[in-house]
Parts: sequence; structure tokens; C-alpha cells
Amino acid sequence: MLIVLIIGCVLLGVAVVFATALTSAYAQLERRVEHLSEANELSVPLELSARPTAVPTGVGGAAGRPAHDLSGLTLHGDARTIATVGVEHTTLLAFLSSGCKTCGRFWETLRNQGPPEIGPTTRLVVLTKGADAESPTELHRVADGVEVVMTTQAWQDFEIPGTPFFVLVDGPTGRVAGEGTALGWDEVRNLVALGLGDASILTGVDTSAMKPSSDAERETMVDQILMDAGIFPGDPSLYPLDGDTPNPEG
Amino acid sequence: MSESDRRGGTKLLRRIGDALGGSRYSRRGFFSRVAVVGSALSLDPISFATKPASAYDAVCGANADCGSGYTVFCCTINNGGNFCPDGSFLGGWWKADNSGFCCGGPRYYLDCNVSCGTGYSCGCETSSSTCDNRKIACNQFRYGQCNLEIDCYGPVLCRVITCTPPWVFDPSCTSSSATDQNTASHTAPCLPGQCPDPLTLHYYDLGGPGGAFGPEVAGVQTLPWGTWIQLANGALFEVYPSGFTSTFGALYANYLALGGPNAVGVPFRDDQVCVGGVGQYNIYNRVEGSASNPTLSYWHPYFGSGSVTGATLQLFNLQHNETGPFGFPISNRLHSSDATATYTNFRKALTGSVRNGRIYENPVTGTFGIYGTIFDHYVAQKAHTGRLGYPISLPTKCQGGQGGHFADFATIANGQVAYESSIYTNPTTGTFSVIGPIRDAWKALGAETGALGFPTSDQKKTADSLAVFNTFGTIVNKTIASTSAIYLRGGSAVAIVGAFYARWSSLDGATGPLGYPASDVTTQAAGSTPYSVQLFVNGAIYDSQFGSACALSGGLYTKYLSQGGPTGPLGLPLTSEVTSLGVTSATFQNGSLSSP
Amino acid sequence: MASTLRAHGIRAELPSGWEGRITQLAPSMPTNAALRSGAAEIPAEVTRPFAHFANMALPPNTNAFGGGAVEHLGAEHSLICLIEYSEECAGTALFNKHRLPKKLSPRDFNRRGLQRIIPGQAGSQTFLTEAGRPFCLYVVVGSYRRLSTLTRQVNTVLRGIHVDPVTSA
Repeated sequence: MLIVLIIGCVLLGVAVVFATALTSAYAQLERRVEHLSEANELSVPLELSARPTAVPTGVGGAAGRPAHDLSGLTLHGDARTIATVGVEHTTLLAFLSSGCKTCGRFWETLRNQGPPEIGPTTRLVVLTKGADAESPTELHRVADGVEVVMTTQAWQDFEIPGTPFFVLVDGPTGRVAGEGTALGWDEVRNLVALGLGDASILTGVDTSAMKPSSDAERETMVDQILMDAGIFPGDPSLYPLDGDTPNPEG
Repeated sequence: MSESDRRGGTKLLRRIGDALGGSRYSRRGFFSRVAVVGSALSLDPISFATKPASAYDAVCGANADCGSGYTVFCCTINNGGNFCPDGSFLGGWWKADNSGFCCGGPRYYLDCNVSCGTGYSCGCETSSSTCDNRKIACNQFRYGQCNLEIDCYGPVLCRVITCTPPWVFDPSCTSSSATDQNTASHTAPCLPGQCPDPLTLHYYDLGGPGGAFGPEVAGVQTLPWGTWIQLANGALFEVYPSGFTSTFGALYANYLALGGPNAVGVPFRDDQVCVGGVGQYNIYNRVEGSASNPTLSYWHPYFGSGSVTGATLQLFNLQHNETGPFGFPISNRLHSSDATATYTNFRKALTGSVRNGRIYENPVTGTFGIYGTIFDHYVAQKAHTGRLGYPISLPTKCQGGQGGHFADFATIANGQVAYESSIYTNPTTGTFSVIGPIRDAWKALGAETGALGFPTSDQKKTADSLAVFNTFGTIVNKTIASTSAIYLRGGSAVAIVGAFYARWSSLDGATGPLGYPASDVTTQAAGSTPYSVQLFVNGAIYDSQFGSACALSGGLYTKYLSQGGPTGPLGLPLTSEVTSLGVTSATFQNGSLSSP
Repeated sequence: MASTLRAHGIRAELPSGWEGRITQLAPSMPTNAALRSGAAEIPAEVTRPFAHFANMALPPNTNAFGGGAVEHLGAEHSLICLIEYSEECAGTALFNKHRLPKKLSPRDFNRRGLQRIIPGQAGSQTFLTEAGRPFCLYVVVGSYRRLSTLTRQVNTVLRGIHVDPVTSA
């Protein structure tokens, strides 16, 4: 009897601790959301003037407007066509220019590190306008070693408002699965993850073998919810502020 | 914060809470993932490090196994030979740019396609002694820039490697370019490594260790004029500004026998084929194009090797080299036994025979050479160690229109010419030498155009060894018309010519009653009658309009002279003396005489 | 047709799902090693355009005969290479036998008919002259077992390829 009582007390204690922790977690999240709501500032690329700030849209990528194949020239004068419609893979079109300052960040990564990791089923295609609207000399400088297709027609086909701009095309359906602007490749990866509904693109970590399935599913769902709300991994609002309860992770 | 924002945040929280609800919630999950992701996003960019390969793997580069799909290198399966094996031909090529194997330039891979009708089976190199285990005769593919006249082809047997543009390496290849950087690291232990010197690259262009030049004997060595590499069957050079040159086979062996580059310099071009297509030659020198002491080296398939240099080379050049009368040198420079002269032997192929020759260099007699029958006779006379000495002329045509050639010689004493000699050769009279005083006497009498004509004997000793002599003969209608002789006795050379010689010979010559000639023929007069007389030790021969070559000797001759001889009462002899029953007598213009 | 590719007198009307590239590289210069051979002058290599058509994403810097791309061919993919040669090759025995084929048969393919033998793949190579210009047509399919299907797809592309004669500048 005494043993039963002791066990019961222990369980109660654990439950209390659990509940306290849970409450604390909820409270933290609430504070984060409040802070986020108060902040509500998104920096807007200066070059993007024709449209309001674009938030990555589309989950699953099956319901967008029709996409187009691409036809243009490479920097070396090669004639090039790119198939985006009727192919198995997804294509991420990166519309850049030699003159936009924000594009410089993208060019630098492409030059120095190569294409960013955007998942095994997504193909990156870097596009600029043709020689009628771009400086080949400047492009050779910023895009040294980068495969680029110069095509003004693509700007028109995809109704590109400015640079940098990214369009995700679902190959099998031939439709736009997502589009938007970004400040860096991190945000572009978010676009792709959202468009494909695959957060593993962001982490590059396959946790399915590491966690119980239901736990992993919950995490995926939570990730999706947060991202839908514009909260992405690394977001400062997810971490303790000064004076707050220390991060449970210590 | 606006009311709508608050509601949105609450809604968010609820959704999160719903998602996080459940007894198996792991609070650590989301945050840990956040932390992980957060740190992941701040990671340095992923760089793909090259897997460290074993030293063995590095020798063959990537894709060296059978399953990689690429073809083996020819040197791997061709006993080290970097060339297409028998039964295959160059079918095409590609390149890998910026190759360290070619010091930053393009490295060219030439495919050897199996010739149609040749039997090769698809397989892989399985030898454990090499890491180049790529495919052999499997890839039914052709690059197509070489040997475009061949439209039937089998699979790729193997690959040849070069840093030389294929259209220079092999004229059958066009310069139509193809590039495959994926093969840039492909190599094999039998190929040169990173950025070898140009001479080594050239060596491999010629087939490398498995090629005609064979394996290395000594590595690349520096010379004042460039570099060279000694191989088993030849040597390769890089000389400035000619570029790559070589010498091979028997010429190479003789090059080493001559002392190699330190002795004779280097070749400034490859071995050349002689005019007429038989034999090869090369010129070694210390400076390209310099006339200072080049060595011209030859090899003949039947005669062997030899070389000419110095003054001998100059004379050889003037005589039109191997196409001239001397033919091919068959020795290097040789030294006379007394070390006063050098000489080089030659041989020329004639129809159905050969002709030998020699050129001498002597500081006293100069540089001259002889060949043919004159040389053969010279050698029979013990050449420069015999009585003839050293040649002082080239074979020269005889005068007088009777054909024949001659060459002059000189002996040396105390650093000076002692006496001269000659060898004459004529199809009618034969080949004979005329030496010293006899020669001088013969020359004074007009030599081959004089009364004596061509020598018909070498110098001989008389039976009593008191004199030496040569016989001579004139030529009429390619036959010997008259015979003469010159005797040398006691330092004096006397000629016996024509009818006088005939008479004297009929009386047993020097062993006969007349004995040795004592004077040349002289012309005198008895009154108004001219006559010729030649004195002998024991008599004389008179020739006049009254009697032809009348010989008088011994007591009869003495008696005739005591009576005044031709100017005496008897006058000129009408006949030679005749001996009968112990009495010698002769008939004269004005009587007869007997003795005793 | 989904797209048209045109350059250097080569025109290709590609069906949906196919993409292409027409390239002409700059010639390499002879190296010092080659120049030291003693030759007074070494003529430079000649480069001519080559075209690639594939129903997969064409990797950058694919070599003329498909190196860099064939390694990525899946079972449903094909790669067509049309490589032009220098003028001196025209009229030779190797190039004189065929024109640009508009239709290939599965019999034209060989599992060993490959520049690089990759298990499962098959290749077909034809040297030809079209519009007076010498070419090699080299086709690689990603699956020998699906040869019939893939050959039909390849032929659809071949029917859309046209070559114009070279016109002097």
C-alpha cells in the first residue's frame, strides 16, 4: 500500500513537472508570436516595386498558372532550351540581373559555392534577360563559372516584376508551384520547401529513422504551421529574450 | 499589437498546441529541430572534399577498373609500347585541357580501333602488376578524326597518349577537335607522370619503353647544346634550335663507339636515308650548321658502319659523298701504326662486285685517297707500310688516249718526302707500281705517253739481286705493241726500249753476254751516217740504217772498238754477233770481224 | 513542338519534355611542349559546333560525346549528340556513306556501342554528311530493355532536326 502511494506521488510529481513545462512552452510561444506580431516588419527588395511584398505561397504546387519552356543563349553564346513542362522534376527558375544589389548576394554564392542545396528533385536554372537588356560584360563578371540562360522572353512568359525573383515549376503538371522574392538563398530554400511540402530540404536531415513516427509527424506539422505563419527555423523570435525564462534546452 | 494580430497569434498557438498535444509529446522535438536547423543554416557551405586515394590508385587515376566503362592504355597491353598494336589503327582522338600531365596544356588521347577482320575479344586487363584494368576491345565506338579513308572499324582496342597535337603526331589525323574532361586523370604506370620534360614526352610519342627505341638506359642528361636520353636501341636529343632529333640502331651503336656527345657532338636531325634508298647516315656536330669538325656517320646493310670527319670529310664531300667513287665509309678514323697518319676505309657496291678504297690524312703528304684496282694493288704492296708510302693524288686518268688511271704516292723520311711512286692501271697492260728512281726515269721519258708506255710489271729483282727493274709496254689497238724495261743498278736507272730491249732480251738480257745496260740509248754519227747505240756492261747494241739492233759483246766488241768502232774502217755493224764453233763473228759495213 | 533550338545552321524542333544545347568551343592553343617539337608552325585545332538533345536536365559542360550527361541517364532518358567535324572530313570514306537519319531502329543500337560503357545503356553511332557538312550522330539510351520505346522517342526528335549548308561569311 505504501508502495502504491509512493508510486502515485512520483507519477503526480512527474505530471506536474510536465504540465509546468508545457505551460511554460506555451507561454514562450505566445510571447514569441506577440513579439512577431509587434515587429511585423519585412524588408522589401528595393527593386521590387510593381508588386507588394510577396510571401512564399503555394503548398504542394499543383494549382498554379501554366509554366513555359525556356529558350535563349548562354554566356558563351550557346543556343539553349530548358524543358520545364512535361518533365519529372521540379524546376526553380532564378531570375537575376547583373545590376541589382540584392542579386549580388546570389551571384556570389553561385560563383563561390555553386548551386545551393534545394533537394534532389529540384533543378535550379539561373536566368537573365537577353543581350538586348543586359550587359554581357557585366554578366561575365558576376556570373563567372555559373551556367546562365539569357532570355528576355522568359521575363514576359512568367510576368517577372523585378529581380531577384524566383519561380518554382512543377514539371509533371507544367504549372507554377510557387514564386516570390528573397533576400538570400536561405529564403529561396524556404520557397522550395513550401512549394514541395518538403521541410527536409531545409534541414537536409532525414529524421524518419531517428524519431518515433508520430513524433516526427507532429514536428512536421508544427514546422508547417510555423512556416505558414512566416516563422522559419533560426527565427530569433523562437529563442529566449533577456529576462525570459531560459530556453528549456539550457 | 492589434486585436487581429492577437487573435492570429492565439490561433497560431492553438494550432501549435493541438499539434503538440498528446502523451507522447517530446518538448525537445521542435526546439531541438529549431536548434539543429538554426545551426544548419549557419553552417559553412558544403564543400566536397576529394576522397584521399591510395598512391596506387593515384597512378592510374579515376575509373581505372573494368566496370568503369573506359578503355585500357596501349602501353599496358603492348609491352610498354605507346602505339597502336598490330591489327589496329588510329581511329580518332579527344583531349583533356589544362592537363598536368602536359604541363598545363591539352593532353591528347588517341583511340586505336581494331581493324576489320582482325580477331580481338572484349575483355579487361586483369594483370595484378598494373592498376590500369580498363577494357580491351569492347567499346564499339570511334571518334573519327584519323584515317578517314578507313570506313570499317572494330571496337577500341586501347588508347595512345601524347601531348603533341594529333594532327602533328600522325598526319592521318585531322585537327577537328573533341574534348572530354572526364578523362583528365586517366593514366597508367607505363605512362609518364606529371609534367615530364619535353624530351621524355617526345620519347613516349615515339612509343616509349615498348617502342622501337626501347627502354631507358640513362635518364635525361644535359649537354651544352640541349639534352639527350640514352635508350636501349637509340638516343633522343633536344637541341637548340632544331628541336627533337635522334639516332638509332647501328648508327647509334657507332655514335657510342665514336665517344658519344662529348666526342662528336649531337645530331641536328634524325637519321636520314641515303640517296638510292640503301643505307642511312647522320651528321653529328657540336654546333648546328658549323663547319668545325662535324662527323658524318653511315650505316650500310651489307658493309656495316663507318664515319668520316676532318679533312677526310672535306675530300669525301668533294667526291660527292657515298654516291662518289669511294662509296660508304666502313670504318671510323684509324691510325697508322707509326701514328703519323690516319685513314678511313671505304667500300662501294658495283654491279656484281664491290670496290674498296681508303682516304689518308698525313701532315706531310696531305689528304688523298685511292680506290678500286689501284687500291687493291696498293694493299697488296703492303699499303702505307710498304715501299709506296702514302697517296699524294687521287686516282687520275692517264693521258695519251689509251685509257687507264694512275695514282701517285710518296714515302716519308725525316718528316719529308723521300721518293715518289705511282700505280698505273690499264685494261690492256694491267695494274702495276713504279717506284722511286725507276719511276723518275720513266717519267722523264714521257711516262705512259713516252716510248716505254705503261708499266707491265711491278718492280722486280734480277736473279743475281744486283738490280731491280720494271717492264713496260706500249699499246696499239688495245694490244701491247712493244716492250721495254728500266733497270736500276748502283743507283742509276737505265731504260732499254723497243728494238734494243728486244735484242737484249733475245740474248738473255742481264744474264746474257751483254750484261746490264750501262747507258741510255744515244744518237751519234759515223761520218754522215747517224746511228743509235746503247752501251751495256759487256757490249753495246747498234742501230742504223745498215743494221737493226746489232749486238756486239765481249772480245768481239772490244776488238771492234780497238779498230775505231763505227767511225773506224769497219763502219757500222750489219748484224748482231754470231758464235759458232767457239768463234764469235759479226759483219760490218766494210768487212767482218771475229773473236778470238 | 515545345521549343525550337537554332544555331550554326542547325535547327531542332523539340517535343515537350526535351531540351537542347548547341555549342561551339574555342580552340586550345598549342603548348610549349608541342612547339618545341621543332615544327616551324603548328596549325591550331579546329572546333565545330555540337548539339545535345535530351529528355532530362542537361548538365553544364557536357562533353561533345555526352560525357558528363550519360552518367545521369535514367531508364526513361535518351541523349542525342550531333557533332560536326572540320571540312576536310567531308567526302572521305568514313563520312560519305550516310545522311542524317530521320529514323533509327532498335537494331542500330548496341550495348557496347558507347563512348563509355555504362551497364544498362546502349548506343548508336553514325558518321554522315548532311548539307555538305560532316557530322557524327551519337545516340545513347538509358535502358537497353526499353529500346523500342526510347527509339521511338528519339526518332521524334530526329525528325525535327534540320541542317543548313554552311554559307561563306
